[in-house]
Amino acid sequence: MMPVRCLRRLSVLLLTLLLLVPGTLPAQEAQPSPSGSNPTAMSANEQQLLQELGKLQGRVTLPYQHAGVLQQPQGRSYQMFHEAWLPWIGAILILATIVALAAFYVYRGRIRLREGELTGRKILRFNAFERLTHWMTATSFIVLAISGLNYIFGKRLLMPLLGADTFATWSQWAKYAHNFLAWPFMLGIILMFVLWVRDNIPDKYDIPWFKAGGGLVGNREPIAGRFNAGQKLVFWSVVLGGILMSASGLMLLFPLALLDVNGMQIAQYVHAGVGIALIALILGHIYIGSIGMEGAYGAMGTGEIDLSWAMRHHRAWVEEQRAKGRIAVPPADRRSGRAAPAE
Amino acid sequence: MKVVIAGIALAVAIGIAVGLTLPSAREPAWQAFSTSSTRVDDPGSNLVGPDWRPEK
Repeated sequence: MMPVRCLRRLSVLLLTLLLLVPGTLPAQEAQPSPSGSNPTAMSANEQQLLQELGKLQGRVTLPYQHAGVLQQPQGRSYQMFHEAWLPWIGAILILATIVALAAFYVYRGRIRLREGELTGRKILRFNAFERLTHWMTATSFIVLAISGLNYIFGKRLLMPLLGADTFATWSQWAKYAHNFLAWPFMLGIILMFVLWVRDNIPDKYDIPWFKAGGGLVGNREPIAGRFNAGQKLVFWSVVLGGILMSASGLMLLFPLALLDVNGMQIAQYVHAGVGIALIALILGHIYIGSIGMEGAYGAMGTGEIDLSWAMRHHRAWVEEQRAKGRIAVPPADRRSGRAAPAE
Repeated sequence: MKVVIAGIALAVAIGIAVGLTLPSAREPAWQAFSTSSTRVDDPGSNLVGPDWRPEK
C-alpha cells in the first residue's frame, strides 16, 4: 500500500507544480513589430463597415453574389415594420375609413336627386371600352386587395378561424391570384391613364369644387367638367399609386433580379404602404359610386346617365358636349343646374 | 351589366393566361433566395411537410 500512496502523492505534487509554473513566470509582453507599426491598426472593423456600407458583404464564388452578404441590419427594421407597424397602421387606416364612411352616411344619407328631377333623357357618359377597362381593373384590384390583406392579417385573423391547414391552402391560392391578376391590373392602369388623362388635368373648376365641399357637404352644387376634383384626386392616386405598386410588385415577383435583399425590403415598404392607402381610397370610391350617391352607378354600369344628373354634377362637361354637338341638350337653367324641358 | 361581366371575365382570362406562362419565366423565391447546393430537390409547395405545427 505504501508505494501506491507515495506514487499518488508524487503525482499530485507534480501536477500542482505544473499548474503553478505558468503563474509564477513573468507575463510575456506583446512583441512590437520590427518596423514599429501595427499592421491591423488601419484595417476597417465591423462597426466602420456597417456605418459606411450599411451591410457586411464579402466575396463568394457562388453564382448568387447576394449570398456574400453576412450582415444586413436593416432587416431588423423591416421585420419590425412587417410584424408590428404594418398590421397596426393598416388596421387603423382601413377601419377608420369604414367608420368615417359609415358616419358620413348617417350624417348625410344617400345623396338623392330631387323629386321629379329626372328628365328621362339619357346621355352616354362612358363608352363600352371605358367601362370594360374600369371593370377589368376593378376586378383585379379587389382580388389583389383581399389577397394582399391576407399577407398582413391572414395569420392573425383567419388562421385561428380556419385552422392551419385550410389557411395554408387558402393562402397558397391567394398568392397565385395575387401574382396572376396583378397583370390585368397593370394593363388596366395603363389603359385608364391613356383613356382619361386629358379629362383629369386640373382646371378652373377644381378649387371652387373643393371650397364647396364637392356638393357632399351643404347644399351648394359646384360646377365640374367630365371629372370633378374629387374624381381627379382618385384618378391621379390610382395612376401614381398603381405605378408604384406595379414597379415594386414586379421587383417582388422577380426576387433579386434587379435589387439586393435591402432593395427588396424597400420594395415591400412601398408595396404594402401604397397598397393600404389605395385600399382606403377605393373604399371611398366604391361608397360614393354605389350607396353614397343615387345615379352614380349608372355611369359605369350601363354607361348612360340621366341628363339632369349630368347637369347637376358635371354641368361644364354637358355644356361642352352640347357645344360640340355630341348631345342635343336644351340650354340649362344655370342657377338650379336643372335642364330646361325638352323641346 | 354585360360589360361588367365582360370586364370580370377579361381579368380572369388574362390572369389564367399569365398563370400558364409566368411560372416558366420567373424564378420562385425558394430558388432565388438559396443556392442549389442547399437544396435537396424541388421542395414543392410545402417546405416542411404536412404536419408543421410547432406544438406537435
